[in-house]
Amino acid sequence: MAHKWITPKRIGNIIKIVVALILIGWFIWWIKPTGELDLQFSTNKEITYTHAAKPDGGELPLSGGMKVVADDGNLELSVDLERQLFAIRDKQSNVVWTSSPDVTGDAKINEITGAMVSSPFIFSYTNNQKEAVISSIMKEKATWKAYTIPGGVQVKYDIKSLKIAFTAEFVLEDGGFYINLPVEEIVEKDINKLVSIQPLPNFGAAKQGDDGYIIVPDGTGALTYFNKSHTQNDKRGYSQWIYGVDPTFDPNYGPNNNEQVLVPIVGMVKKDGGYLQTLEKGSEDAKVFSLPPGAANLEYYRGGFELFIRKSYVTRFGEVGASFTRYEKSPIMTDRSIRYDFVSGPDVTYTELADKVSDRFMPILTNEKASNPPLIQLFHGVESRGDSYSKRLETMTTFDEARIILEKLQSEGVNNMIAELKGWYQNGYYGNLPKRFPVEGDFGGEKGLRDLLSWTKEKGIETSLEDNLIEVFRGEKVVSLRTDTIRKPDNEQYILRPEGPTGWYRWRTERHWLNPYVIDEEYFEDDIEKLKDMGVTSVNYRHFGEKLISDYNSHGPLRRGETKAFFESWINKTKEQLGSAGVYYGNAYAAKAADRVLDIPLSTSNDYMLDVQVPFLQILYHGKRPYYSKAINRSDDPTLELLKSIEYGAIPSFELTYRETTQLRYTDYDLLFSSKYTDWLSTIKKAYTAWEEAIAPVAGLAITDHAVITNGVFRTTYSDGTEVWTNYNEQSYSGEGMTVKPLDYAVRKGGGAK
Amino acid sequence: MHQLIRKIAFSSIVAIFVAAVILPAAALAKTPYPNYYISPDNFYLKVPAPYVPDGFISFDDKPEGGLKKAQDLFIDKNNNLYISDTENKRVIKTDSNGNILKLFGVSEDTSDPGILGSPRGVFVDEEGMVFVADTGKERIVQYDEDGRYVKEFGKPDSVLLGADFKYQPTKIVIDSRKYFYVVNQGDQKGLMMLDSEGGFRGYFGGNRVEATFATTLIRLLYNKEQRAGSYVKLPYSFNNVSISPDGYVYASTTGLSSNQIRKLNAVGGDVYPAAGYNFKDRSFDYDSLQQNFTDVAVDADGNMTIIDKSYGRMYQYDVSGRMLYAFGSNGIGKGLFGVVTAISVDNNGYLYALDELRGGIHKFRPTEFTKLVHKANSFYNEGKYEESFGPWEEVRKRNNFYELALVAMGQTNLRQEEYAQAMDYFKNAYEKTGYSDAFYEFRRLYVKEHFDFIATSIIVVLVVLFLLFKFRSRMKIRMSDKTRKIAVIRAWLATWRFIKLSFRVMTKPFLGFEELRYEDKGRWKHAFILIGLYVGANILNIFIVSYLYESIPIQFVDWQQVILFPFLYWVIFSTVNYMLTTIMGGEGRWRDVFIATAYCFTPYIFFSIPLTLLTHVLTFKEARFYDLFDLVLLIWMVFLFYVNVRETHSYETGQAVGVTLLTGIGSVIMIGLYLVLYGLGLNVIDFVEQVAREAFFVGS
Repeated sequence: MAHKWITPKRIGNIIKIVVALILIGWFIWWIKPTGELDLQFSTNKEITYTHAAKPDGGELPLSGGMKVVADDGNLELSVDLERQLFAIRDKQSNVVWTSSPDVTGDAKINEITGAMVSSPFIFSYTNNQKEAVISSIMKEKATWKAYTIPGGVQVKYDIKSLKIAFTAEFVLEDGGFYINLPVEEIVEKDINKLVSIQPLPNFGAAKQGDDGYIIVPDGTGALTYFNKSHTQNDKRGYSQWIYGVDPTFDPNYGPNNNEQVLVPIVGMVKKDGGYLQTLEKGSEDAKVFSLPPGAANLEYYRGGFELFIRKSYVTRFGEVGASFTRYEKSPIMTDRSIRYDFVSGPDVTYTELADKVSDRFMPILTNEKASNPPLIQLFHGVESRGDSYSKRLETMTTFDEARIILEKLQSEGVNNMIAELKGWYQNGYYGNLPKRFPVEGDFGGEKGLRDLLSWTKEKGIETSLEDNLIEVFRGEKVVSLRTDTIRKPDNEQYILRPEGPTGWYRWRTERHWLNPYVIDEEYFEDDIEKLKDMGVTSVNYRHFGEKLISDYNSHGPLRRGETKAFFESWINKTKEQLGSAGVYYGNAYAAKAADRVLDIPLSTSNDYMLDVQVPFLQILYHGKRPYYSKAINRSDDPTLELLKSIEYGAIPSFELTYRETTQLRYTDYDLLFSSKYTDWLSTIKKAYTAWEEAIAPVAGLAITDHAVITNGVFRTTYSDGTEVWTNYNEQSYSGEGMTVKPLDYAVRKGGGAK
Repeated sequence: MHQLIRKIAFSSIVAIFVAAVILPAAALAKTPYPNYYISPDNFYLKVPAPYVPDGFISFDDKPEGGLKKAQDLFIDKNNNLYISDTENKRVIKTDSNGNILKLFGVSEDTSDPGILGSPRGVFVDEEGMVFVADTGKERIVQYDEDGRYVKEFGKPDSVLLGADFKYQPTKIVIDSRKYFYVVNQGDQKGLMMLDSEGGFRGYFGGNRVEATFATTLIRLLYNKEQRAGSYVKLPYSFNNVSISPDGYVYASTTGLSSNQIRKLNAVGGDVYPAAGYNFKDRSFDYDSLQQNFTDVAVDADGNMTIIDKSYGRMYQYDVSGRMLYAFGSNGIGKGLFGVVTAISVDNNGYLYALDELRGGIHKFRPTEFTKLVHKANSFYNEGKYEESFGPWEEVRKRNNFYELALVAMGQTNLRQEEYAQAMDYFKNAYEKTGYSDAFYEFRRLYVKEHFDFIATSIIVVLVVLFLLFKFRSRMKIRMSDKTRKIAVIRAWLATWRFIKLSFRVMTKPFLGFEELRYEDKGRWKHAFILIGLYVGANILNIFIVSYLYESIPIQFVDWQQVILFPFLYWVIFSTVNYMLTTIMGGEGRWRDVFIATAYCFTPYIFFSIPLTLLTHVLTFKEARFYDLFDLVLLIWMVFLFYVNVRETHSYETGQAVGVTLLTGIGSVIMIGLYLVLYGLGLNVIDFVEQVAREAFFVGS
């Protein structure tokens, strides 16, 4: 009977129903809410966090005023447990730093601001995942218990009104003052969830008009003076993520061209001394702030760290729907520890402070070479814009032409240089990333590359390859865009767009980032093998030192700290297997692991809080890691850029092509506007001479002073006494026995190592 | 010890310096804003920063107090700045570093006639006399160099101005005749021209009402009585006025869609070199804000910098109206504007922009690149092409994309009769007119040099063609039936017949289409092959067209469009035609219509490629020749379509013409309908998606 039931008409109907169901199903799948996923971060790793120290005595009585709790011979830590006032005294000079300013008699302080100023911790929390409330220990009338621990004191805070509790340890150790926040001691019993904590936010707070400044590590570094007015920014102050904003959490719609914070160090100099605080653990998810009087209604200059337990992101309903801020559900699990270093004296500068922490912060490499000559970057080619049918590979330099360029430079007297090859991948610079092999045939193929490498080896030109493990561009056939790429907390795919000339994104080009687990499992080892086989001895990695990203991809979620660990392990493996590795821009974790830093920033952001630019970053890095300027020919004003790199001790670099740059007009690489090597020969020779005179002799030395002599004239002093003077003015400068020609530099040799 | 003291002393000196001097915001030339050039065909290219921020002049820390809603800025011949500090009711004179030299319009004595009400414009003449447009007190006030009140010019009295005339002078300039040009707020008639005694001499310049489609329609359809009472559109009034060193008056207007900046000569005529130019920057198309150009600054070379208040972007044009570059931006941070109201240039080429919101003046320093561009361009604009070549070459070294340099170098080479080199420069600059000129000369020389060879080849080709044509009939190959059965040869023969058929349809359409329909020679296969060939010809043309005649660079060709559209033409024409003829008693079947329509494209398939190849020897001077052939092809195809309609459906001539026209109209309607439905559908889907998402999200 069944066969009679199955009539063509019925079959047709069934097919229609099935198709309709599939369509409806697809539609439901498509509009499925893309809320935040409940992800378990760092599941497949055994991570042990530093536990809270065991008290070696009983509970301390809270009353009794200021009591000394630790003394390491140089520093003395005393605490008033009842008022939660912490003080550090330099025993030699008797300079005292306190955790909160003395507000007695200040008419502007009311009950609330008083509670904020006197709190050792200002924190923010959320009870609905939507907005955060700023509060403090004192404002919430928290209770606390204190215990003695080795080297200091442990305080367990219980914020009863919010049902939040956490523990902080204040200890003197290793010549510095530490604040530790054991992550396992953070307890949230209710819907109130911690968003961030600012430890000792009012440490050394200064009033408008005081002597001194806050040292802000933005780009090269900058100073916020207490005696300048900072009212231009509606008193919002400066607050930026360390290592730049996490791209997957970035709420900004447009590109950001400001410099980012490369080192987790902030500090302050006042009339009788200064201090630097280093965020030794937990720097991946923290901000640096430098606030003017009036910010949060407190009439003090304050500088410090804000440590994040939960970050916020922006999500939307559909493409055009309104956007909402959300705070993530799961906390960021990491150790958090801040170290304070103090230097006392009446004329302490940021230079002395930086020199003091530099050795510990950036250990010297064991295989440091004697000389690090200028860098020549050779750009091989890139595909034009347009869809997959109309794009065309623009060859800018073949491997043979690269050799001609280097030969020409040598014949012009540039005897000492290193080279970097950019865009050697299949189909050029962005090509088929993450697939890079085989080496593009139009440039000369693998054979051409091998020949070039053996030729440079013979000539003594150390040559690195630029490599990009992270980006995915037209990677459809190579990786799964759905499962292998990085996602935002709302499960949207992270999309990276190139910036166009008008300062806006090119919306038609989409790139993605690859999940580090995928890189580690599927690419890294293979690529190292291939590079090794071709005779490559050095690689410079894109992105490792520029951006730090977290990933909400359910196949392998990562916090920034875990991504950082991947970056470090890859750099180390490359050094082991090939020889050396470099990074760009130079975020501290990457610079520590790598052998060199390319494209080091030579400027600071245009924030109104940053009064004067200083080479703080360079003072930390100089003599520890060779660092190179951005390609001089890419800059807005090559003369000034070269001067700046001389002033800041950065080894000059150039990005060259053999053919006319005009070919790049229709590509995504059109921000390189002049690169033909013949156009730059004279500038390269000038830069080479400058390097020989002003940069090479001081390689390996520390910068001991950097001074503004007059408007536009600077002096950088190195540890052997050598002085490099730079004059940015259009008039020549004479003074202190030195004459510096306009837009030029001059060197005064030092007496020898100090 | 001695040394220590010296060290301390020195460091405190350094500290004093650091505290007191306005440090250059960027000793390094990194700008917080984009720098680019907009080519005439709206292509955006990066340039090295033309100007870098060079400090911010603010009076917040000075005893005189900061600026409050300052509205105007003027720089005199000694590089002193005059700021009309509107809400503080004063005018400040400072040097170029922000040291206050004098205050105007403030006095202890309340009866002083020099006390200002609400100064919104300031101008200083050659003798150093300071004129202030005191909007609040409806007058222009004159002070001498030392800030002493000289006299005032009140509301002009003239019968021409009418009874309900309102006088609110906001901006003012004075020309060499000592005539005032006054922006009267909200006055649509133009600038008020006053003589040196303050007497009204008439209106100057003036915008016209922009005719929109709607207003034109209303004018056409309604008579005057009907129009009365409806909304009357008035011309836009000027928002600012400036005068250049060579005496031209520049006026800017808010709200216009072209001519936002006018360069007015002595009689008030707009002499801006690029007439009708729209200054709008299309890179802001993503945003809804309208650009609002509020001030003009002109330097001694005639370079004009205009500023857009909405985005804080500045645009510089040279004396012949060519764009030099765009830079600057609104934003938070040094070198970025809050609300910018005025711009001025000093003798050294520094730009000063007055920021109303941040209460200060942003100073911008010209970079080496800009100085080179200005130098090269002033030579070039004076016609000194040879001298300009060197500086332009320097410019090009710094920016390979800079089209002005490429064009200028191309022009110089053209004059030096180095045509190949000139062609190269023009090609890189994407400057087709110049390229065409250079190519014309190049071709002329080439033909002259190789005349013998070219003439011989042409003759040989002609002879060969003639011979082929003549002996064509004799070349017919006789084939036995056996040979005809070999598969390959049969296929070849079929192809040959197909080619002959399509050629016949093209050349003898009346016979051809009849053959297709009534002798049943039409094949679906052939139709698809023809459409395929048509698409193929389209693609091939894009590849082989010469640089001069290509409509867009090959990188930007939308291949989907190139491939899909020809196919869609076929389907749409055929479908519409079939539907029409079905109602109108046509005889053609579905397949006949489709097949015959496909044959209409044959002229394009046969002749477009030779025509495109021809572009390689054509310059723009012969563009008409090319266009004519293009038109012939189009007419031919339309004619074929008409014959197709007539023959396939056995219509009378009149009927066929009607159906052909209707098919055209029907196709347009169909495409329109599709677009509307598609758009609606997308909207519906988006709406459902939003509702669903919101429900899910709120629910979760």
